[in-house]
Amino acid sequence: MQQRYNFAFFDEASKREIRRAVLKGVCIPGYQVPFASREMPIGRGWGTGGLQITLSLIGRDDVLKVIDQGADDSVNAVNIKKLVCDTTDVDVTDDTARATLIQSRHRIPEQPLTSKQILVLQVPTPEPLRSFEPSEAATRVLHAEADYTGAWLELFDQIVAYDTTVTGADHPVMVNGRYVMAPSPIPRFDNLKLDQAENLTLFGAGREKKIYAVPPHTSVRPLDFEDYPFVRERFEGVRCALCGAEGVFFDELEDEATGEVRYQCNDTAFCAARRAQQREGDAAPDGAALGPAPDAALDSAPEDAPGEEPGEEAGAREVV
Amino acid sequence: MTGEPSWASLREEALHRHQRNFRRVLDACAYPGTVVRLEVDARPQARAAAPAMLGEALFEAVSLLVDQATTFCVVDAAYAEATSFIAGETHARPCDAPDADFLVVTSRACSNVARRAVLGARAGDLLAPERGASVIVDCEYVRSFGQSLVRRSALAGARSSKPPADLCRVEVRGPGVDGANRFVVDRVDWALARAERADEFPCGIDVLLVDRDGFAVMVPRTSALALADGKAA
Repeated sequence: MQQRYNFAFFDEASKREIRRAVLKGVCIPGYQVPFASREMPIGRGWGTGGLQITLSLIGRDDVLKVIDQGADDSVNAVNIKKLVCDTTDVDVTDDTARATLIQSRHRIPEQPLTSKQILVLQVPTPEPLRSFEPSEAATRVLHAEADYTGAWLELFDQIVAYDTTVTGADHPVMVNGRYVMAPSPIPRFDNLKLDQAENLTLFGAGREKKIYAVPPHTSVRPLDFEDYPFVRERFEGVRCALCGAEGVFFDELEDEATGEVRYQCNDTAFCAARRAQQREGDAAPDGAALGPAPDAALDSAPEDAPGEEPGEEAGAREVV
Repeated sequence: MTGEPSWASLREEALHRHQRNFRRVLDACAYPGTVVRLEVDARPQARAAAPAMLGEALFEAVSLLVDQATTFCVVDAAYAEATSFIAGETHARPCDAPDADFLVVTSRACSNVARRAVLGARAGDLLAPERGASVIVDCEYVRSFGQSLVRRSALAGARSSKPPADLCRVEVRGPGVDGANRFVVDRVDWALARAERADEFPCGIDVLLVDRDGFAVMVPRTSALALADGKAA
């Protein structure tokens, strides 16, 4: 550890300010809490929001995992791990199950997270209304009034033009029946993992100076229409060329020489763990060993349960 | 040379204690109604410096979050000493309850005083709901309703108070809760005042209850509460 810095790089006042924003974010699920995003030794847009949350949370007992687009060893992930390790000396791991703190860019790990883990997502554009409303002051009013007409219209326009929504990633979600939230550019495949998750998920946008959160066991529903329900990416009949997994999110790779297309697990740690298990000779049947089996129920958003209209959840019981 | 720890090592120790305690409070906030346990500065000097009405655990919770960028208000019949101590230790600015980012309700504050303060606490507004106050309440006794609900951050084997005779069971539902979480607490003035406020989400107050043994539970504004054991149902 480089002792020239305070533990976890930040001074304690900076950590406290970020911690206060994190707590308010958890108390108001989906709401973007402004915070004083600090200058970092990495450029804005390279994960400074997530990194600031990680540094304000991390302690000596933590085990850190950092992933970038599903990979533990990409440039962004390696450099973030290096900075955190240099200033904290914490253990790092590629093993999702062993990690207590997971910082991620654009993916939620395939292995379901537990209540003992916190997921920190890096967010480039936290404002789901930005594409049609450039003014921050105006979007704050829209959120205050829960006026999400623009978000719905945007999806409607896509359906009119393409007969489907074309949000490849960052498909907007409704959190706890109140706030429309950008889930960061995770693929649609991952959107439903946020709904009623066991773990706390925190979102940090350093450039835009916003922190927000999805607490565990919280309703997170992708915006969709009754006749055009939300559908995640489909990989029917696709298997990982390396580990044989099915029902996970894949990278599509094309051999430039032969034109042959093959697929590999996007979550490299998940794939590597499966292959290691297979090498040890006790691999479970394909697609079921370590990760989630293909889950048809996750292919589309769950039907709204009766009585889950906005506001009803908090008012269902006698409130004291 | 004496065996006294150096200033640097005390500072380092406090830094890590605050980190661990923050994670416990974050756990309590993410899983409302579950009880965590905060570590306190066990040095006799630390205890001796604080006014009697500020419990060690209460001050630990305050110092986790309150600093020069925030305002606070001590709710106590004799608040001057505690206010002066917190302002001196944290450099936060004391103010009236309706303007405070943090309300610190001491265990000596009677139900009426606590109720009035909680009723007057800032709720934030639709444009800035995060400005809703955080209310830190000093209790005599906070425990989970059944040990199975104590989360991983609870510490085993430390001293523990005898439960007061008049305990109320609180049931928590809402985001962060799978079904219902239950805890017991000796005072519910904060809960009755919270209900009386009838804040409309996203505005509201977030309540952190801390007892003398360091047990803490959080009730964010999203939580729906039901009281049992005769107080309310």
